[in-house]
Amino acid sequence: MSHADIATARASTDAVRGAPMLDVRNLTTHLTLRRGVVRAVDGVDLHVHEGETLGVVGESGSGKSMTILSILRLLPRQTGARIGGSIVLDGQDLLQVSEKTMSEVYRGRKIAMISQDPLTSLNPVFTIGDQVGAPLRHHGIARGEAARRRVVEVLDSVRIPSPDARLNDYPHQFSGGMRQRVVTGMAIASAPRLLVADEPTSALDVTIQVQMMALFRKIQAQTGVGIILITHDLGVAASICHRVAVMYAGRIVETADVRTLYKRPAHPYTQALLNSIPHFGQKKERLFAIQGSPPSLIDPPAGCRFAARCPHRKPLCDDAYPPEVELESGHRVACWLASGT
Amino acid sequence: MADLTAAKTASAADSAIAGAPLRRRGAIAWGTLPWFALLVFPVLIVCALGGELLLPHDPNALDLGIAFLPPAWLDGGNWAYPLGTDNMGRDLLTRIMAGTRISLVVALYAILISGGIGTAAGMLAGYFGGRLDALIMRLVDIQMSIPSLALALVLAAVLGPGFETVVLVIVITYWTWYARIVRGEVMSLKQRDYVALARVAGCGTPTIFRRHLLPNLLNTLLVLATLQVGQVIIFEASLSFLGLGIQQPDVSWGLMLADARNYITNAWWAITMPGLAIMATCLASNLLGDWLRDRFDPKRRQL
Repeated sequence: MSHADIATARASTDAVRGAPMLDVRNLTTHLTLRRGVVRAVDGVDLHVHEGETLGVVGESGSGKSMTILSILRLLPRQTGARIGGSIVLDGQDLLQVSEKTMSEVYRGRKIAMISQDPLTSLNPVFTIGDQVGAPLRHHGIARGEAARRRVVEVLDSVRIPSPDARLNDYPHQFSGGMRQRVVTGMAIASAPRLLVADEPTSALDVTIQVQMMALFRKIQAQTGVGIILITHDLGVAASICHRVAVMYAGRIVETADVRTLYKRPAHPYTQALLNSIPHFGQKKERLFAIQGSPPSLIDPPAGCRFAARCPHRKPLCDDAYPPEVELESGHRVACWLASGT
Repeated sequence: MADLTAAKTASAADSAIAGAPLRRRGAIAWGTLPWFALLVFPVLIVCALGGELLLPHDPNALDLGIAFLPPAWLDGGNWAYPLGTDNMGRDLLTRIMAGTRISLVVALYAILISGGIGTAAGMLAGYFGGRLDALIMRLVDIQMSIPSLALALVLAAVLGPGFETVVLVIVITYWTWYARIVRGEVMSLKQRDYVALARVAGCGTPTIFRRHLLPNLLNTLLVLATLQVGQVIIFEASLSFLGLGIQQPDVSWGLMLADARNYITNAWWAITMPGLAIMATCLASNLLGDWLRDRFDPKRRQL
C-alpha cells in the first residue's frame, strides 16, 4: 500500500471523526475445556482511535492475550471458544465477516501484530528481505522489484542501517533489538490500520526499549496506525500510551488517559499495581505485593473479582459486580468504592 | 579466514555491528567439501547406471576352478580378479558393481517413501494434535511393537520375496522413525512466534506447513535420511540373507554377505569386500548429509 492509499484511508476516517477506529463492546470469550467453561474474557469494552495507543495492562492470566486473539479470531479450535459481543473495525463487525475475509482482508493487512520474543519471531531459514516482503506478496500488495523497494523503505523506516545491503542476511545476524525492529517493519509493511503489540519490549534491554518506544511513536505519527500495547510493565505503558486499560480476571476494571491513571488511580487493583513498582533510591524492606491470587475463571465469584484480595473490601463487594462509573471524562472504573455506596 | 575478511573490508564495515558474514553467499569453501562422498558417489552412480557394459566378468558365471582366489595383491591372486573370487569362483569386483544398483535403488526408494509418509504423518500429528495425533501415534506404537523380521516373513509369504517386498518391509518399518521425530520437532516449531505471527498475518495451514515447518525440518530430515542409508542397506542384507529379499540371479551386497558368511575363516575377502562397499556407501552418505545440513543451516553456513 502506498502513502497515497494511507492518506485516502485516513481521509475516509476523518469523515467520521470522533468515532473510534476500533470499537470492542461487551466482548466475551468462553472456552470450553474438560474442567468446565472458562470465562477468559468476560464483557470487555475497549476502543482505539486513529493514531492512538491504548495500553492494556494486567497480570498473567488476566485475559489480555485472549482479548487480542479474540479480536483476530484466532483462538485454537480445540478450545471450543465462543466469542460474543461486537468488534467493530472501521465500521465492520469482525465477528460477522467470513473466515475467508478475515484472513484475506484483516489478518496481516488491516491488523498486524508484533509478538514478545524477537528471537523466535523470525523464521531462521529465510532471509529478512524475504520475510519482511512475505506479507506484501501474501496479500498481493506488491511483487518483485516493487516489493523489494517497499521492503527497503520499511526497513529504513524502522532504522535498520543500510537496509539494501542487509536484505539477504539471516535473522541470526541481527541483534535482539534489531530483530524486533525487523519484526516491526514486517508488521507495518502492509500499512495496517491497527497494530497489536504483545509485550514488544519485555525481552529487550532497557536502552533498546526506549528506542523501540521512540520508533512506535514515529511510525504512529507517520501512518496514523492505532496501537494496542499489551504489557505488564507500567513504566513502558506510561511512556508511550495515550490511554491505559487495566484488566483483571477477564474484565477491564479501570480505563483512563495515562496521566489520570497514574495520578489518580481509582480502583484498588490499579493502586496496588502502582504500589508494586520499585522506585529508585527508595529503601524498603520488601517490595509491596498484592496478597493472594486471581480467582479461577471457570466459576468466577458473583461479586467483584478483586474482592478477595482487596484491602477496602465491603460486604457489598461479594454480592454483586460493581457497575462501571465515569469519574471524569474518559476515566471509567468498576468499583463499589467509586460508586459512592 | 584472514584473507577472506580482508577481501570484504569494504562491505564488512557497514555490517560489522551485527557480525559480518565472512564469506559471500554462494562462494564455495573448498576445504569443507565432503571429498570422500564426492569421490564415492560418482563411482556408485556410474556402477548403478552402467549396468552390464562396465562389468569385467559375468556376475553369475560359475567356475569352481578359480573358487576362493584371494585379492590380486596377495599370494595366489590374479589381476583378472582384482578383489578375488567367492566360493563359486565368481568375481567379487563384478558382483559388487552389479549389486550397486539394487542396493542403491532399494535405499533410495525405501528412504524416499518412508520419509515421505513418516514426515507427512508426523507433521499432521504434531501440528493438529488431539485425536489425529493419538491415532497416528498409536499406529506408530503398534508398528514399533511388531518385529520387522517377523513382518517380513509374513509379507514374503503373502507377496513372495523380491525387490518390492524388501522396499515395502523397509518402508513399513522406518516410517515410524520419521513420524516420531518430525512430530516432536513440529510440536516445538509450532510454538515459535513466527508460526503464530504467520497465522496472525492470515497464512493458512498449507502455507505454514510449506514455509515454516518444512524448511525448518529439513536439517533433521537430511540427517535422518542419510543415517538411514546404511541401515537400509544392512536391513536389505538381512532380508536377503534370510532368503526373503533379493533373489538369485540378482545380486545385492546383502546377498553377497549372506553367501560368504560360511567361508569367513578361509576366505575373508569374500565377506570383507562387499562389507567395505557397504561401509564406504554409509560413510559417504553420512558425510554428505552432514555437509548438506551445514549448507542448509544459515547459522552454520557462515561459520
